Amino acid sequence: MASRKSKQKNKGKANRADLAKRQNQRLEKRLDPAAAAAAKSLEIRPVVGSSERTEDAAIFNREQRLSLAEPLQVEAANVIESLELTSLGKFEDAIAKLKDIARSSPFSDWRLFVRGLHAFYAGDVETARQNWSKLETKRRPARIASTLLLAETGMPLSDAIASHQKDLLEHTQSLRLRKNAVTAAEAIAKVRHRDPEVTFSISQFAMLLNFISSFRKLDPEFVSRVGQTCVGLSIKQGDLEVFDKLKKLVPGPADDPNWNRTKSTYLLDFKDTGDLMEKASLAYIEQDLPNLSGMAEPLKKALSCQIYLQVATAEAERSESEFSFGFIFGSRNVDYKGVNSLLRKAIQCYPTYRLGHEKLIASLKKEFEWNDRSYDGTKERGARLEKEILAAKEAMVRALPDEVETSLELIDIYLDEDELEKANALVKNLSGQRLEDPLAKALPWKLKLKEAMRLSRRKADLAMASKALEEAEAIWPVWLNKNWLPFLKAGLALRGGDQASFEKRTAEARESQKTSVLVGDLMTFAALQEMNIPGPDLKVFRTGVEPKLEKANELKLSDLFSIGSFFWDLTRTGFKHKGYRMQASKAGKAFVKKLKSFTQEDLSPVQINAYSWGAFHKFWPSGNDPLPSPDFLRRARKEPRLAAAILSWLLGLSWFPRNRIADYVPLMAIVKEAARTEKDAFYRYQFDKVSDGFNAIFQELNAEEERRKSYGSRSDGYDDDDEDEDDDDDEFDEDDFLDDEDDLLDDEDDSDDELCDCPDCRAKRARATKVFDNELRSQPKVIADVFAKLGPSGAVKIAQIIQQNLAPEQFVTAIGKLFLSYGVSPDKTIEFVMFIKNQPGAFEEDFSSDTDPDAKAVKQSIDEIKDARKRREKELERKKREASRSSR
Amino acid sequence: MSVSANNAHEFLELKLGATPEELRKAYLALVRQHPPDRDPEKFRDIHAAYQLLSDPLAQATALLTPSRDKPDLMAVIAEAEKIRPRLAMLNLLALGNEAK
Repeated sequence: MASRKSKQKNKGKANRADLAKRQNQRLEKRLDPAAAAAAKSLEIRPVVGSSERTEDAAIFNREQRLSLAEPLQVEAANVIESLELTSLGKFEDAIAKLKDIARSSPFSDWRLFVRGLHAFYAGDVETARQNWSKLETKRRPARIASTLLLAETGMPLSDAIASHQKDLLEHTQSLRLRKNAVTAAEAIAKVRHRDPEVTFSISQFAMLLNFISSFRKLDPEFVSRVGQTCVGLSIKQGDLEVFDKLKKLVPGPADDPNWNRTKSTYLLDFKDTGDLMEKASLAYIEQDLPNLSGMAEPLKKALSCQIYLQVATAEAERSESEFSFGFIFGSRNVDYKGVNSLLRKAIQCYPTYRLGHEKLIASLKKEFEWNDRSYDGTKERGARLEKEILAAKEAMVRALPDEVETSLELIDIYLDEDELEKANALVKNLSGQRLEDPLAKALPWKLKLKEAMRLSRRKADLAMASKALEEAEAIWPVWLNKNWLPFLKAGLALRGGDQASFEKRTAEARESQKTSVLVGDLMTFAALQEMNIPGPDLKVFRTGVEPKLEKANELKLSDLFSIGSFFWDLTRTGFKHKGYRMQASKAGKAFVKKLKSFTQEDLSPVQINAYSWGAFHKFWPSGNDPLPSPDFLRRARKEPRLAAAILSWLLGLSWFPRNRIADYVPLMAIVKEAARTEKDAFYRYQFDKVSDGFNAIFQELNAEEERRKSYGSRSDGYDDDDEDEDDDDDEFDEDDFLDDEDDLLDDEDDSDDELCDCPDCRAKRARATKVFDNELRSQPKVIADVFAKLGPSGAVKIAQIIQQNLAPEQFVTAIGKLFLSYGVSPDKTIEFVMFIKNQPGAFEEDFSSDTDPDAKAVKQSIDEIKDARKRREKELERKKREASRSSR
Repeated sequence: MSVSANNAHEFLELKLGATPEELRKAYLALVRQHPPDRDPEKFRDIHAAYQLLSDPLAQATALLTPSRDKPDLMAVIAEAEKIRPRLAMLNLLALGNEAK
């Protein structure tokens, strides 16, 4: 059985080899006359004639040139250079070379000739003839002009010089050969492929090979353009076999002469090509770029920077994808050293490239998190990474002084480390900018408060500390409550030894804020820590808080809400006190646990704050899961501040779960909507920031999708069988190519995906498109817009999703994923989701509320599209059957 | 033809390694020829090309972003048909040889 199959295959191969041979023979037959004529044309050389003027002979004969007087030698040299420049297409430079030749000069005929030649090459024969009509007929310029005109129009320049040109006419073939070259190039362009994914086949490659060898010397520019276009076509398909062969044959464009950049950009979007991509990328940076003398240095640096960044990103992503649980445990497979080194090289090439800094900081953070979670992480490594992160942030702010977010992060670090000078320098730097971030605007307040805390260390400075606290109070941000302030004042009083004032102030604060005992104790303890109350004095306050938080599960939920709200203020302003980490961890876990039995629907501001704090710190039980707990998600769909806290947490992750992005579309829609009406400056800015952050990710994902769509659909760019056989350094071997050709032709012949191009099928396709277009016009605008983007197949998928009767969140997720896969913009996705969501009864069974006209309209629209498609399919099926019957 | 990193130089009639001064000079010269009020479309292209070439990072990004469009070989051929091939200098000069 196997043997029969093998024989059949061999027979098929032999037939296809014959076919290829015949194809080539036909091609050669067609191209041969052109090639012969080209060779003939190229044989000719200028010869000094018996009556030739010395000045004319001097243009191509060195001895004649040297016999001229020196000024004339210079003019002759200029004419030669001008003709050379003309042959390179640099007409302006060519004319400039002749500007010093006077009318009285014996070379003025050459000047006139060159002008006419430029018009002739540009296709303006009349202007050429006009220029050339003034030439002296017995001289060489007139004879050349006459031959060119005779070849082009059949009419010489003048009858006086008509006779001699007949012998030369065959040498003007090159002018007419462009027609042959065009015919040959058209033949390449008109090859149809059975497989729609093939953009440049191996048989086209064979034709191009002949085309190049026939016309390369004769018409190098056209050959180069055709060749480069063919390489461009070859890289649009799913495998690189043809591209790899072509790139050895056709020199690349001036900025990518060896096609290394093109190849590395192509490979970037495929998995399992990391080494090949890196090899091509580094070859471009290290071998090609230094030799591109025509390219401006800043562009070289920008290209190097971005390519290093691409290689580093691809390497990191590849390693992560190899480790399925990388998002939970960190990616132990990532060669952080290699990745970070590439990122540093990128920054070195172009220090002001923001993305380079961002990626380096993110990579270092990721390594830090991995070290933190990994069983083989070490404290030393953690400490080193912390320093490296700090250094990376400092480098970023040095290179980009207007970088607000990193500056704010650094200011917090400096303030925590008591490096006020460094913090002040950054604050001063930021103060020159027009800032929108409320946290940045609040920097003077923050510095003042920190100053008060720092001054409270020495008793001698307490008066200044008190003054600083008053100044901080005066500029307290309007978006932040002052609940903690009386406790801070009380703490300062205690630090000064005024026990009575301390007690009075705390009691008043507890009373006015109606805090529970525990929450009052916690706020007092945090304030005393910040106001540097010595350890022994602090002990009594500690015992009022920490043992209770140790048993946080026993606390009342109302206490946990208040603690969460207080901690949320500390978190968002960056004022976490010394015991915060431990206290927050204990309280947070208990809080989330207790929420399971919390059923109240509408949340108070304190409760929203606590939820936001819980979300920001991902306190839910599966803390490493990229999705928050269902309770948080459910409430976030109603409460934009909570939604924004969840999204902020996600955006801050070094391992952002990009594959789950569709899950967050509903939250993003809510936050975006709320940004328009939010009155609180802090939240309004946060909503915008979150929206921008997600938009940037959507854009990045869409750009990646676009890139992928610009190529074919194979996963790795290479056929599995000969992935390793094609070494880049090999010279192109035509015999090897011909050996491979049978296999590749095999693929083409076996494919049955061809779209029939007969008039009947074309008409059917046109009718189908028309039906779909008509349907689009009858839809509500938002649906029509989305369907227009998705096309008929996407519309049917939407219908299928709607028919599944999914729960609202599953519906939105499914739609989001579908839209992303079709490259629909996030705005349009949200608009569509909101449109559907806002339909009364949208998520009721099958959208079939008879009383709701909108819901009915949506369903009807979808049904109509489905019906139309079914009708179309039936019709096509029927026609197919008829055609089949009639052919029998 | 729309402006892209691959053809921005052509739009401004510049070499690949043109200096910022040359870029500015070429831009201003072309704007004088095609002012926005008289030739808005051409001006838009010139301005887009100038902006692209003024920012090396933008230019690099554009060069590293593959076009979604498939190269059009027929368009290249049609373009070539408009212009005659240029002869090599010696071949051209030989067309003026005296009759044998």
